[in-house]
Amino acid sequence: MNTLEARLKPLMIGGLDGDTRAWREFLGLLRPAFHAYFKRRQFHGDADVEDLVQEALMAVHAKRETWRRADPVTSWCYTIARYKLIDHLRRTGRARFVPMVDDLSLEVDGVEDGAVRHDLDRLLSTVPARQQALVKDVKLSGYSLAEAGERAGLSEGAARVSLHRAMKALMNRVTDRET
Amino acid sequence: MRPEPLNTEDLIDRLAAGARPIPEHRPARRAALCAGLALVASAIVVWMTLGPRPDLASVVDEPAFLLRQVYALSVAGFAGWLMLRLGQPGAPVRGPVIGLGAVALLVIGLVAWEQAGLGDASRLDSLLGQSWTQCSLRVGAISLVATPFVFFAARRLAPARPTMAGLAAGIVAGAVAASAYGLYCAEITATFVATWYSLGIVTSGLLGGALGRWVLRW
Repeated sequence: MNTLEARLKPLMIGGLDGDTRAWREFLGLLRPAFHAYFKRRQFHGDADVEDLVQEALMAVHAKRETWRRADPVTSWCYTIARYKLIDHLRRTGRARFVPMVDDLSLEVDGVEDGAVRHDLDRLLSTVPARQQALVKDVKLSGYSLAEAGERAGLSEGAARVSLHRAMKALMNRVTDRET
Repeated sequence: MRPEPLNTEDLIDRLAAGARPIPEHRPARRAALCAGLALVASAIVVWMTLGPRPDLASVVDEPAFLLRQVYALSVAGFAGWLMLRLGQPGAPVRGPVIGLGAVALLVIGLVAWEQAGLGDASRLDSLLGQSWTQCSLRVGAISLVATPFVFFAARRLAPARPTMAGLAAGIVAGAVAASAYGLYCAEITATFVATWYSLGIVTSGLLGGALGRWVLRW
């Protein structure tokens, strides 16, 4: 059910027992997970993301004794990643776009999706309802412009204009928050 | 910070090569050891500056003496537990918070009970005792001795909220200092202990929070 957790836990325990191969595999598994985590929260170059991944991996290594065997490994890892992200944003002066609460009761991929959805919903709520529906249908659900326009009661041309305006507003919104 | 950009794969290899075995419960054991050392250091400072209580042997079984120690040490214990939990990413903090709340309620209950049994004339005396002007200040000053030991343990943790962890660490240092000062103090009312000891402990906690904001980042 929760595959990453199931794979990470024995490796974490191995690493704590001094098994360098298990620990290598652990960090190797964590790397793409962290990459995805930071990627979705960063709208800048990849250099930033890779720096954060490295910083978080070093923190995971240095602080591995703070994991309690009673707690899920993934929530421990993501709490560290979030701390490093917030620390990074604070240092570079952009702390506003991080959700304060990741719902850790979800399974781990769900944690990710839930947090992203939360960011996205907050962002989308800044444009009118009809535009929201268009953006969701076309950009997220994969409807064609004509189909999405029909669902929203618009001609294809009107839908195109409306969608364009919505995306522009959203982009402005994102860059506003980041500078 | 980093001397040169490092390939992430190389970094992982390098980290993995340094994976030494880690004994279970290491953070808890380190915290307990540091708190113990903090208590010894604080007691030595009390001994050297205020001098030993000549009648220490005869008061150790007095209720007031026991109350001071039980109060101070249980606050130190629960705050230390809270500090640990705050410093372990993803760990729940409910247990130690409930513990601290329970200690506070018990002490408030004890004070209410004590006050109920006193006449109006002795109420103020029970609050001020002989040494109210010095107690909190001394507990606060002694906590400065205990703080470095506690923070040494806290530094090795990974608190997502450094200010909160610092607050917990400061309360530990304050409570340890209160226990040490309690070896010397001759006050006999629960009201006195609940007020002036707590004030000293809270002061130490606030200092710890301010300190933690900077010192406990990682």
